[in-house]
Amino acid sequence: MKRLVLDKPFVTLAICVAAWMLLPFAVKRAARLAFFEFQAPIDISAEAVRNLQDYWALRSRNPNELIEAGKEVARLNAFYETKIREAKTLEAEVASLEQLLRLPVFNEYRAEAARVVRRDYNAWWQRITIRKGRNYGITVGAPVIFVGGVVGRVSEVGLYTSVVDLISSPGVRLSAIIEGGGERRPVSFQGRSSAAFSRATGSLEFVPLDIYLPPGETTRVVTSGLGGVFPPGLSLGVIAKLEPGGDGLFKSAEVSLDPRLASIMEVTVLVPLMPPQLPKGAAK
Amino acid sequence: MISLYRQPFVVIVCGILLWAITAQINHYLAVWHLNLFTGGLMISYAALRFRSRIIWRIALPLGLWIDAASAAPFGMHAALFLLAGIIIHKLRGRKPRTDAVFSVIVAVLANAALFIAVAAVFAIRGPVQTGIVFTLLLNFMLSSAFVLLVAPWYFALQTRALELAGIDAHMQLGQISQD
Repeated sequence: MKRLVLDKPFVTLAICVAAWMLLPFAVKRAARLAFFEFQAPIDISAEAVRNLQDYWALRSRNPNELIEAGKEVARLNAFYETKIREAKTLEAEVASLEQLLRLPVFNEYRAEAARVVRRDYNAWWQRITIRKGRNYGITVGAPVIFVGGVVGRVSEVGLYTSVVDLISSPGVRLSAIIEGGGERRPVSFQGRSSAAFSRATGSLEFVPLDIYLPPGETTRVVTSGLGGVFPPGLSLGVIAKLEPGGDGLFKSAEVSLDPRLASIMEVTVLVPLMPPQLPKGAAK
Repeated sequence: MISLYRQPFVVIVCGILLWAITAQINHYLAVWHLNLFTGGLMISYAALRFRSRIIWRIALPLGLWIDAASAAPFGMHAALFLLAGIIIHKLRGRKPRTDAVFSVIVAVLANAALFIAVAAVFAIRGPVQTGIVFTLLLNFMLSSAFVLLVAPWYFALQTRALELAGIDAHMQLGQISQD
């Protein structure tokens, strides 16, 4: 065995790769999680160092600037307090209408704000690591949003950190609707690899032929709520280009995503309060 | 006799340090959708100096570490690191492998080869979108420049760390003659 490793290293490597491919998925998953957990303290420490840098950078600011910033925050707080009160009134109204009309209640979510500890965007994937994991009840597949709309969905969860696949990642696909189209016809949204120095983009497939872009207006794309992962109405981006598809049956579109996705620092994870329930008779 | 585990442990810790630095740079580069890859640099020091068994003990955990931090299939980087390690080990022969300039050249070439291999694997797995070639080319050039810049420091760091762990340069070279 020792001689095989020394004399025929390529054969040894081929045998090892074949053995690795035959290894049960659970073993690989456990190994991946183990390595992932070891990386968490490094990511969190690096973020703490960055926060310290920011703190000292802010300390060097002119006190007048800080006073102005404080006043601006106070104004915003007052505005948001009013909005929260309005939202509560509307929520109560929706709940009473749902009860009155015996409408089905949508899955409820718990909003969990989290800081981004690492961004990793390359040609093949775009993902971020956030500072909350199983310790805050984050689950795989949970939708993640920010002030500009949808960020993506949680793909890996560790004890202290989680990984979120961004909607600009080519592997992310979800159901969307085009706003202002009149009817709520679902289309398929998929992330696209972002070119360097440009905005992140996505693509829309299966857009009906009778949908047109109104000239001089921006047309938003929002989540449809189908599939039960993302709540309906969350912004995905705006349509940059709409053209006939190759098959002639549908159109396809290029969606320009929020530029703030590139420098995102804070996100909110929507943790489902109850798992989505399948209708009776549906295939599991 | 040098512990067969102390040497890999020190080099792996240095590799994790390089990964952490690269991850922080990538965090800031994400604003422009750019990304650095330093896999070749992680493996070249060990591949140039150590015997094959130690190369395996270094390449496998470091590759799995990178795999856990990426969206690549788990084990892909480990296999590529092992392959790179074996190829460098086979080719190093009578070359001046401890020479700083030669080591840097090997690190840059290994990094470029691994970058292309990873890109090829992803291109085979799924459709390649238009506009990606420019990003890949830019990332490739940035990664090569970065490796060229930090390789002398990283090799010196590993040598110094091994010395601190009680493995001096002569003992490291002594390991080479055993293969």
